[in-house]
Amino acid sequence: MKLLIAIAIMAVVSVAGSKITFLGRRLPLGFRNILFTGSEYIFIGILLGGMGLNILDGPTLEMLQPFLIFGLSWIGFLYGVQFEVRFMRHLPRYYFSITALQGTITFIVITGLFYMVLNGTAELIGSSRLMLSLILGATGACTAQSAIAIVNRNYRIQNRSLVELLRYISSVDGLFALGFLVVSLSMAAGFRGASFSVQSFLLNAGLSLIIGIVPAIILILLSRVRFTQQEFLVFIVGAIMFNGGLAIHMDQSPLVSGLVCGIIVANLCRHRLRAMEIVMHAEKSIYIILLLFLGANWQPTIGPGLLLAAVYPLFRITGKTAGMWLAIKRFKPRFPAPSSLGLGLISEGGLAVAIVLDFCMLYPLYAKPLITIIIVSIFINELLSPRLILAQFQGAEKL
Amino acid sequence: MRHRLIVLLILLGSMTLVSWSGLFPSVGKGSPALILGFLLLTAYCIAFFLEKIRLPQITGFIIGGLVLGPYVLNFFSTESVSELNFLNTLALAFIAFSAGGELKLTRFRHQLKNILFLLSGVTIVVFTGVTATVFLLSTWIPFMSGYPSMVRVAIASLFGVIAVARSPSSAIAIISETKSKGNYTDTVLSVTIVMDVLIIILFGVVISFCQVAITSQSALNLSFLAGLMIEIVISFVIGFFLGKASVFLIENIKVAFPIVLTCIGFLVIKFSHLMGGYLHESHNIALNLEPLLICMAAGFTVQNFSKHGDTFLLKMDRISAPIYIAFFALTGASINLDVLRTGWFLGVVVVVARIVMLMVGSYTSGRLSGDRPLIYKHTWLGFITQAGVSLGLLSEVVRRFPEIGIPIQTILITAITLNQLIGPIAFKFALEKTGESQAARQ
Repeated sequence: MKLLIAIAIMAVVSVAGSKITFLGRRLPLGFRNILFTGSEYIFIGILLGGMGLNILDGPTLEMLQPFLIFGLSWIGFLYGVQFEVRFMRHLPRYYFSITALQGTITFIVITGLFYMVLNGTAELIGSSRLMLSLILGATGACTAQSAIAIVNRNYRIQNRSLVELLRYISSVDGLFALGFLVVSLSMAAGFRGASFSVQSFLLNAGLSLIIGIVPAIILILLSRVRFTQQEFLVFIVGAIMFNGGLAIHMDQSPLVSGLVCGIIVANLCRHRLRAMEIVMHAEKSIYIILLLFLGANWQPTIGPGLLLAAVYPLFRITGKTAGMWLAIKRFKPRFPAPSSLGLGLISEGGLAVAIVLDFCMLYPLYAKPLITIIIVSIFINELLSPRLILAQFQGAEKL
Repeated sequence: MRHRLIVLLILLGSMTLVSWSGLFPSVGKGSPALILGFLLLTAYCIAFFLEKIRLPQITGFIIGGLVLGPYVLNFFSTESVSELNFLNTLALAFIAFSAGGELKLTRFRHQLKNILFLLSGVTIVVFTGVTATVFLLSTWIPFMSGYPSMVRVAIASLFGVIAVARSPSSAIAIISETKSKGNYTDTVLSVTIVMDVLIIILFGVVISFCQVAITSQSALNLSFLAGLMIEIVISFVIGFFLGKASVFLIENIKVAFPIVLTCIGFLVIKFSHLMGGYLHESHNIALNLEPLLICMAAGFTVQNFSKHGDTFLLKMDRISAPIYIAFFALTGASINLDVLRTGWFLGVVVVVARIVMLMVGSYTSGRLSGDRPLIYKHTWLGFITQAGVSLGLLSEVVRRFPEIGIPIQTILITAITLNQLIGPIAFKFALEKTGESQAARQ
C-alpha cells in the first residue's frame, strides 16, 4: 500500500512541480537560488523519506527502483539526443576543445585530491578509495545550467559570447562526465575479482556502450514508416524503458546506455526533433523524481562523511578553476575571457544527481557517503554559483 | 511491415539472450522495467501484424501479452506480472476518467429513450436467460448437481449477474482506435458505462439473495439496498467535487494534467478500498464507496459542467496509447491457460448463452424503442467484451462463497477470456458495418 501511495505522491509532485519550478520569481537571489533551481525537491524527498514521514522508506525505495531505472534511462537518452554532430558543427570547434580540457582537468584534480584525502582519513580498502574518488571526479566534471540561466535572465550582460561559451560548456561537459562514469563503472567491474582484471574492465566498458544500440535500432526502425503521435510516444517510452531494464539486467548503467541510445537516435533517426520534444516534455518531472529519490535516500551521519562533503566543493572549485584556466590559455577564445572563468561553472545539479543515483544503484555500498557529499555540495554550489558567475561579467546590470 | 518484423525479431532475440541463455544472471532489480518495455514494444508489433488481418489492436495487445507471458513463451513469470499489477489500477483510474468524459449530456439526451430501453431490456434478458440456461444445465454440472434447486437457482443467478457486466475500457479503446462517432457509437458507449454503475446495484441484490439461499446466514434484508444507494450517491458527490478539482488542475497545470488526474484517480481507488476496510473492521460500518464511479463522475463533471470537456478528452487521448497497451498486454499475460484448459466447455456454453441473450435483448429493445434497424441489428456486437469489472465481481464471489466460488471462477474466467478475445473483433466489425468508424466514413 505504501508503495502505491508513494508512486502516486511522486507522480503528482513531479508533474505538478515541473510547472512551478525553474520560474523567474521576484525573490531575493539567495532564496531564489535554492527554491527555483529544483533543490527544494531534495527537501521534499527528505520529508517523504525515512527521516520524515517515512513514506519513502528503504523497502519502498527498493520497490520503486524500476521508476529510478526508467528515469535514469530517460535522462541519458535526453542528454544523448541533443548531440547531433551536424548541429554541433555550427558552433566554434574550440568551444568543444575548451569543454573537453576543462572537464578532464576537473576530473583529474578532484579524483587525485580526493584519493589523497581518503588515503589519509577513511577506513576504506584501496579499490574503494579509488572508486569513491573516481565517481566524485565524474560528478564534479559536469555543470548545471540553472545558475547561468538565473543570471542570464536577471542581468543585462554585455559579453554575450562569454555567456554563450558558459552555456555551451554547461550543456556539453556532461558528456565527458558520463564518459568518466563509464571509466568508474568499468574500474569497479575490474576490481570484482581478487585482483584487478583488465579483461573485465574492457568487457564492461564495451558492454555498457553496446546495450544502448539495441533500443536505438528499434526506435529508428519503428519510426521509418508512418506513425501517429500516440504511437511515437509508445516507441519512445517503450525503447527507453527497455533500454533501462536491459542495462540493469546486465548489471550496467541505464544512464550510459540511454546516452548511447540518444546519440545514435540524434544522428541516425529522421524524427530526432520529435523524439527530443517528447523527452524534453517530461525532463523536469523526471529530474524532480531523481531529486526526491536523492532526498529520500539521504542518511546523514556525523563523522568523516560530513568532512568529505565539506571538502568536495573546495576540490571542485579548484578543479574547475584550474581546468578552465588551462583551457583558456591553450585554446584562446576570440573574446575577452577572465582567467577565473572556472568559478562560473560550479553550479551542480541534475546530471550529477543522476550519476550518483546510477552508481549507488549498482554499488549500494557507496550510497551513504556519496549522497551526503552530493547533497551538501548542491546546496553550497547553488548558493554561491550565481554570485561567482556574476563576478565573471564586468558591468552586468540588474534588469 | 518489414521494419516492424525486424523489430519484433530483435526484441524476441534480445529477450531470449537475456532470459534463457544464462549469460547474464539477473540481479532482479531491472525485471519490471525490462518486462514493461519489452511488453509495450512487442505487443505493439504483434497488434500491428494482427491489424493486417483486420483484428482490433486491443485483441493484438491481449494476444501479445498471452503469447509472451508465463503460459506460452514464458519470457516472464506470473510473479513478475503481479509486480506490475499496480499499473492496472493506474490504467483503470485513467479509463474511468475517460469513460466519464465520454458521456456528453448534449450528445445522448436525444437518445435517452433508446438507451433506457436497451439498458432494461438487455439486463433483464441476459440475466434471466443466462441464469435459466445454467440452472437447466445444473444437474450435469458436477459442483452444482448435489444442491437443492433453490441453491442451484442462486448459483445460476451469480452466472447471470456476471454475464450482464461489460467492459467500458475495451469499448473506449476500440472507439478511440477506430476513431468512431455517431449514434451507434454513442448508444453502445452510454449503455456500457451506465451499465457499469447498474451492475454494482444488481450484483448487491443477487449476492444478498445468494447469501440467504446458499449459506442461510440471514433473512433476506432489503435495507441493504438503501445502504447501496447511499454509497452510490456519496460516490457521485465525491466524484463531482473531484471533477471540479480536476477543472482547476486543467486550468493550472494545462499540458500534464492527465498524468496528475490519473494519479489522483489511483489514490481515490486505493483510499476507497482502505476506507471501506477500516470502517468495516473498526466501526462495523459497511460503507464501500465505488472508486470507479467516483472517477467516472469526475470525468463526467469535467465534460458536462466545465468548458474544458473537449480539451480534457483530447489530452487524455494523447497519452492513452502506452496505458492501453500496458493494460491489455498485462491482461493477456494474466490469462491462466491451465484454467482455460479445465473450464473451457462450460465456459463456451456460458459465452454462447450470453451472446444469444444479448442478441435477443438488444434486438427486442431496439425494435420496441423505435431505433433504426441498422443500429439495433448490430447493438449486441458492442456488448460482448468483458474484462476488469467482471473479474472484480468474480473475485468478490470467491471471497464470499469460497467453496463454490472456485469452480464458478474457473468457468467464468474462461468465459470472460473468450469474450475479451471475441468482443473487440465483434465491436470493430459492427462499427464498420454501421459506417461509424473512421475507415468506413472515408
